[in-house]
This record gives sequence, C-alpha cells and structure tokens, in this order.
Amino acid sequence: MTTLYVLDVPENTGLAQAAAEDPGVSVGRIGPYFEITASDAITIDRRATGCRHAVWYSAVAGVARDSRITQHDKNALRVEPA
Amino acid sequence: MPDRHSATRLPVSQAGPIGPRLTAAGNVALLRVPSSKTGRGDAYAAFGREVPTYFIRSRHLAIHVDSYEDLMEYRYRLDASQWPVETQIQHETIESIYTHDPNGYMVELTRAMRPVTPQEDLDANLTIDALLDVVAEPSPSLAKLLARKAELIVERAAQWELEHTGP
Repeated sequence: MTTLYVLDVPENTGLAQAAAEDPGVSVGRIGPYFEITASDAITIDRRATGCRHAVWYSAVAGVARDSRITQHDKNALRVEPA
Repeated sequence: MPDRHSATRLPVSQAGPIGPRLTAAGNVALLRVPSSKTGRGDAYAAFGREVPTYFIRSRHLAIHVDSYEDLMEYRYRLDASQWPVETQIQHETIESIYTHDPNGYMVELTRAMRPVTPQEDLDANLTIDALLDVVAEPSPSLAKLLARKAELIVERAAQWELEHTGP
C-alpha cells in the first residue's frame, strides 16, 4: 500500500485531479487533506497538474511510514511502497 | 500558537522612509563593500564558482507585508533610495520585490496573493509537531518528518475538520 497526503488548498487541487487520472490510484479525504492511495506506486506528472515549481515542491504534506518518495523533480512525483 | 507572520509584520505607517533610515543608521560609507576574491557573495560570506547560483540567492531575508498597497509603498520608497527594486515577481502564492542592502545581502518584501486559510494553520502546526518529534530522535531526516506528519494527519485531521465545520 502506498499513501500520500496533500493539503486541500486551491493550488493543490490540480495535483489531486492528475493523481486520480490513474485508475490504480484512489483519491479520498481525511479532514482537510487529500489521501492519495494505491496498491503499488503513485506517479504524478507535474505538467498534468498545472503546478509551477514553488507549489509543486511544497505540495507533499505527509507520506505514510510504509511508503517512500523515490522521485520528486521537475517532471514527476513518485511514491512507492517502502 | 501565535500568528506565524507576527514577528515580521511591519505596517508601512510605522516603517519610516527606508532610504534615509538605512543611510543614517548604516553609515554606508563605513560598511565593507560586498566583495570577495571570488566576486560571489556579500559582506557576510563569499562563495566559489562551484556553489550554485540558486543556493546563493536562497540566502536572503524575506519580510511579510499585509497588502499590495503596502508592497507598492515599499517599492516607491526603495526606488527613490540608493537601493531601488531590482525585481518584482508574482510567484504562485506570493508577490515579492527584491533589492540588496548596503552589505550586498538580498532582501525580499512579500505579500500573500490570498489570505492564509485555517487548514494551512493546521498544516503548519502539524509540521512543527512532527519536526519536534523527529529531531528528538537520532538521525532526523525529511523522510522521517513526512512519515511522522502522516501519522499526525491520521490522528488529528478528521477531528479538526469536525470542530471547524460543525456537524
């Protein structure tokens, strides 16, 4: 299981929408956060989110202990099972 | 927790004219001109060619102002001083003006493009609580911070929303 948390503020909604495009990824909510989960890796294409760099690099609020970030650069955010 | 911006708020009405203040208080002629053998840096630090420019530019003081009008007031005053605004940029969430002080140190004045929301205050508090937990343990890291913060989100976020949105 892979779990990523992103705060639900206007600048981050494009990221949650882009994540949900992947049929293997579920986007739910816990309080004011998006809870983005998948049984395997989560990969989000930055250009599909509409985020520029300042928002992109500050969008990750939390990563579950059984998951780890393996890529977070100008192209993509990838979180995989730890 | 106190307002995160309270330490840097400086209403224009209390700020006084920037140019004359810096000139009078700083004895500019006595200050060491920003220079080094490398030619990169300021009066406080010099950097070699191997140091990325983005790192050098990341070292600066950023001061929050309350509104676009306040930001423009600072811009007018700086432009009339010996330290005119060098750049004005709308980032995604903030708008900033930049100059360098008499020591060659970069100074930013910035305003938020929208008000800070209550959920952002929650998020900031969870970050600080997670940070305190992680630095109390050996070998703190960003990965450990994000893992601890994920736990705090699971523990607190749903209850927070109930308390802030009602039944």
